[in-house]
Amino acid sequence: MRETGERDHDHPAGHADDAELAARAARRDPAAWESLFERHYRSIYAYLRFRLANSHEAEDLAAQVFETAYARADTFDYRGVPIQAWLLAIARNLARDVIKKRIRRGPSDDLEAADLAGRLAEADPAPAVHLRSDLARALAELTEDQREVVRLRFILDKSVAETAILMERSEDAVKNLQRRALAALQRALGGEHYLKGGGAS
Amino acid sequence: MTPDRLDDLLQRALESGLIPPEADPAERAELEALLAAQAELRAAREAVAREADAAMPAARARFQRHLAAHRPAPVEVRTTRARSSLAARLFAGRRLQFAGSLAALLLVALVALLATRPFQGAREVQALGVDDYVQLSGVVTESAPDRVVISSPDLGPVTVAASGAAFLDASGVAQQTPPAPGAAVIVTGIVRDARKGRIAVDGQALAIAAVDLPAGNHRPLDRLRALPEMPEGMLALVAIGRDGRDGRAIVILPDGRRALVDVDGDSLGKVLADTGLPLGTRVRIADRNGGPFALERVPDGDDGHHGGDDRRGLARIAGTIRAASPDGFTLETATGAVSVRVRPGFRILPGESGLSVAEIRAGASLDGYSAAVAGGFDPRTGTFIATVVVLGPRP
Repeated sequence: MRETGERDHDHPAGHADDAELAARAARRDPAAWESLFERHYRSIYAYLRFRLANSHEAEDLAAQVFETAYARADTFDYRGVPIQAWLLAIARNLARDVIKKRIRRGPSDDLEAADLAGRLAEADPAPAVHLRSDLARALAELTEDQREVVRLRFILDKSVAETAILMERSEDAVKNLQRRALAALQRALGGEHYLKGGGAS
Repeated sequence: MTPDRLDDLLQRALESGLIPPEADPAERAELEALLAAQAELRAAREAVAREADAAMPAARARFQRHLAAHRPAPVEVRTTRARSSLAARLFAGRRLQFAGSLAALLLVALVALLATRPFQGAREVQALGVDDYVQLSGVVTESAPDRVVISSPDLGPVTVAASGAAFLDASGVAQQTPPAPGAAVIVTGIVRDARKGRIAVDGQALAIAAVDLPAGNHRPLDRLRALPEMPEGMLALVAIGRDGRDGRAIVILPDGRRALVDVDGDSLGKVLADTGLPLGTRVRIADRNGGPFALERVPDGDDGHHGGDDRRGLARIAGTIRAASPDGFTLETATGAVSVRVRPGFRILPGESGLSVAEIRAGASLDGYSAAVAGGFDPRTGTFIATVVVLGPRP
């Protein structure tokens, strides 16, 4: 799920575009913000959808990400950090707030969409997205770091280098995390290879 | 097999889609299992991508409204600069006495207060949002069966996707061909792109305008912030948001100014129910204690521009809904039962039904509710093509 222009910042020209767009966004240029929305909405939505319980919540929070970013436009300091990283950080914080509220409300609420999606699929006869319940359960068994690497590498299609920046880890650490995440996922899905006890970790 | 080596082999396999040839059989088996897990994620990712695409129009509309609501008002800025300049001149001249300067400043402040009270003064205000149901008028500049471009007095060029639209004559009867260039038309549909200069509407109906609506002067719109001295005017455009709660209207005021008015969905829905096609209708604007304005239709007797509904381009029928289905419903009218067919994306407004938009979308039964329907007759099928339905109470 690669967005148009998503990897522009991999290239010098992309840096220049991003910097110019960030400067216009900081001035609250509406056209710049419309451009940011078109570029990044899908990935922000997808990121949130794999953290939160349902599509409506992800939709609402994705909209809040852009509204929050617009409100804080003048505080964004562009120094080569991709705009998307800024938006993802806002998304991560908003999702955490929602999850914290759930925790305060009681033990029946779960932290992650992966876990919730399985129950959602059973409870909702027509969910907009049918995350397979076995996949949802498998994702729920990962650590938060493993889930984050899954979201960034395999849902948002980020490179190892980008994921390393976003997670503030080394590239080697990301490679190791992604292997452990896929191994844990395959194990949880009942992959034959792992049922036999395989899988270096 | 070491973890580091496996990390690198996996990364290369993910990049190329192929298991590196130097992998030994045990590594190959492990890599195949890991790639299988990635394939599971890819399928889920594609489902979420489709969901994101579906959510995007409504999200874009919400964000565009957010931008419009929080955008600085350029005219206010310009106005302030202009008046500051005058004040500066008064002081800088050093020829006026202090009392004279003060009096001049007070006069300027008074003029500014009076001049800016009814309007916020934002010049680049946005009348439409993505996913709005809209009725607007204009003159056809390009015409093809699948695409019609009109020039709107308020919005400029508007592209109408016409492949799913009904073409209606001035009395609301369906035609085979789209209106020709030069024809004055009414367009109803769903806004797909609200960006300035790129406005696009997914057309539901293009109707020949039965009466000439006032031509615009292409002057920028002002957003109405307080009631003008004469709170009446003629509707030139109406738009209702996806949730049916909020709407916007362009109202031509008695002094010729065209004001963009934020209106509540209920009052706009009532005007729609009463008229079918509200463009050209005279309305009173009522203040709702700082909330969106309410529109009240000026009764026909006072309406200097229009009389009956038969002169409006779109037809309107009213009755009681029976036998509703996903494709339409039967409407029991005073003159008999009418088969009503709905267009893709058509809107049902709750009106006075007591239902919410969410309940209607969730499939609440509409049987037995009264309704006003705007659209046109298709003589080939004997059906009425609906573009908008406003519910009334259950009799």
